[in-house]
Amino acid sequence: MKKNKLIAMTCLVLGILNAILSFTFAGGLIDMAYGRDIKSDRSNEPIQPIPFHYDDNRAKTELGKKLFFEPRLSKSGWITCNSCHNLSTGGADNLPTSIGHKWMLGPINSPTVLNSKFNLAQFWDGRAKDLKEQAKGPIANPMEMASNHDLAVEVLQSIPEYVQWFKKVYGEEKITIDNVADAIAAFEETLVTPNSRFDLWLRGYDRISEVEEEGYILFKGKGCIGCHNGFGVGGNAFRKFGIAKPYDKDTQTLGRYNVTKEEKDKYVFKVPLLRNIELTAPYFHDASTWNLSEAVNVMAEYQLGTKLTEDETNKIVAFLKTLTGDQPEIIFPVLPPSNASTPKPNRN
Amino acid sequence: MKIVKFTKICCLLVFAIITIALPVIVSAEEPPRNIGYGRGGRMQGGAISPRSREPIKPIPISFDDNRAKTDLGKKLFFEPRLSKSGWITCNSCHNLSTGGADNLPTSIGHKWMLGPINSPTVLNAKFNRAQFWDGRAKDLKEQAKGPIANPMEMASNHDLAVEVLQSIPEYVKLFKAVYGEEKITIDNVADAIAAFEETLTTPNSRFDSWLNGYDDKITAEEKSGYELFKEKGCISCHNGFGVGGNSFEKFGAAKPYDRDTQTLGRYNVTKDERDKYVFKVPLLRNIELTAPYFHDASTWSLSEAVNVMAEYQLGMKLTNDETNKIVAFLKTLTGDQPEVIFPVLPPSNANTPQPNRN
Repeated sequence: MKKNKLIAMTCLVLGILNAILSFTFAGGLIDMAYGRDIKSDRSNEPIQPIPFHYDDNRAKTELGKKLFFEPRLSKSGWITCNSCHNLSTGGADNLPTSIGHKWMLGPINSPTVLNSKFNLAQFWDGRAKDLKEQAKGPIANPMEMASNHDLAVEVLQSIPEYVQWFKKVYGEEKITIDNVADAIAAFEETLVTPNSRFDLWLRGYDRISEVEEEGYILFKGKGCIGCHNGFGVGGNAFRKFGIAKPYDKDTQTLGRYNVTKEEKDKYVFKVPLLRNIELTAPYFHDASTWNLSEAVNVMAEYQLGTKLTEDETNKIVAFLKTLTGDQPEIIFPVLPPSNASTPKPNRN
Repeated sequence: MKIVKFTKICCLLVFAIITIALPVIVSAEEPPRNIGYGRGGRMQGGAISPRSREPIKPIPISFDDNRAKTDLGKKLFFEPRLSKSGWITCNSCHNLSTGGADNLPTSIGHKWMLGPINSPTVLNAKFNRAQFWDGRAKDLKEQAKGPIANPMEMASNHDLAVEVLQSIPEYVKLFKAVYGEEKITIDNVADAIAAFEETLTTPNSRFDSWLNGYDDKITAEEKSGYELFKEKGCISCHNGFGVGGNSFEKFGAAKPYDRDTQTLGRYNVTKDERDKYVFKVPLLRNIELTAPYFHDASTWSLSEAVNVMAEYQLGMKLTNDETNKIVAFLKTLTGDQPEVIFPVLPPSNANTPQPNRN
């Protein structure tokens, strides 16, 4: 009797356990190791590991992904956000300056979209306060996508699938440029690159070599860390390019001055992110070098007023290469077709 | 005793139900999707359906035989450094987001040069008997070499393209894994791209399901459109797996085509007078995704395209109703679009030739 009861109970318990397990697995395994930030000895370092991102609104980020790859947001029907912020190549185009409508060449190096949510403002001069504001810029810039906000919205509004998706996310069928930018920004916020070797080291795993660690110590000791810190290893401040010595390679680009019109903001730029830096040559707003070692030396010379030995430069470069994280795994979106009411692309 | 036995059996039953049924219920929330390569989803075909003898054949399910090669090919398909500017990729004109084409009258190339002819879709291109509108490339491998070196397209050259790849250790390793040698050749570049492109088929269209015996997958209107498509004679050129791509035909078989008399088509390859205005019959798979239509992109409207075909190729005029039905049928040919994970490309280094936007 007792034995039978025991078997019955065991069955029940097993059944319940089974049910719980089934649900848990169906919901996807939660990464226990990296899911939350466990305190490590290195928790107080001035660089923080990239936090894990969970989509809070999948419908919105999916819509944003479609828009990010949507060539019909451009006048020509050929240029997308991804044209200049290519997710295959570190979120940038790896060109000195971007190619836009009718092959016009932009005035400044295109910054990466990866981890751009960690920037205190967007664009080199910080003229957009966030990703949403930034996203509206290139669509209407005659040297970039060369469309305008009305036309871009008209194109999307003509496509029933888009109308349906916008309705689902924003509750109304009328598409607005604000919502277009909001969805693109929501997608861009998912474009983070966690799990770099350096981040794992910060979390307490010994994942970087001695040389790389020495590079990090130099990076702090020489003062690079003064600007390049936080989640993005940069992006937290505006700084003058040429603090220690006037920057003479490009005196045309005025940077933050264009926004504030304040004399002291001449040649002041947003400190760029150093995450994935090995993927995003050429370097600086003026793309003046393709070589990461040279970029490090230029920074030392013009910002810190020091000259690094070759050994020091190499070590810092070795450290910088540990900042390359997992690149976003993007399923290339399938876009809905145009129809008779969709404005036609114009290549001229 | 009996009650205990009953409880035991009940518990076992509950246990079994939960074990078997729950995962099914849970997974049923999200319908199975056809992820990545080896696509095709449900195993169709095999069993003979009453429609096995139709002149259009369902797209066979393709299984990758060489994943390393198709993955390399995918990287190359999205590789901007194969172009002189470092900005144009195969995908620029054969965009997998938009039906494998660029949906432009003619493609934009290096320095915004505009090409001479509408860019055909890469989807299902393996079902074409030859590549390009004039069939000047015998297969996808030969085709892939063209745009890289075409000064109006990617504007690089084969030596430069290979030099770029050869300078990147990750590519050297990938080529070695696939072709057994570290020396990269343009032949192998094209071979890998072609292997990837061969995976770009679009199975499981509603029409294919209907061909496979599922009656309710197309409506009565769509079915009568298909009947018209056969009766009127469209089928004699647009048939087989790709619903086209099997032959070269003159544009203007019934009535000289007067909208574009500049493009000579197959004549450019054969220099045979008979081949003037002769083109490869385009595929009609996913046709609703790839406007504008014809080699000269002379219309954006699928209905108008059907009417033009009737007039110039078949010498007849369709009623509105007939056109609508045929268009309805054509829209059943849209299949599962390839689900491609956007590749991550290895960075350039000091030895990599730099892009040149001029």
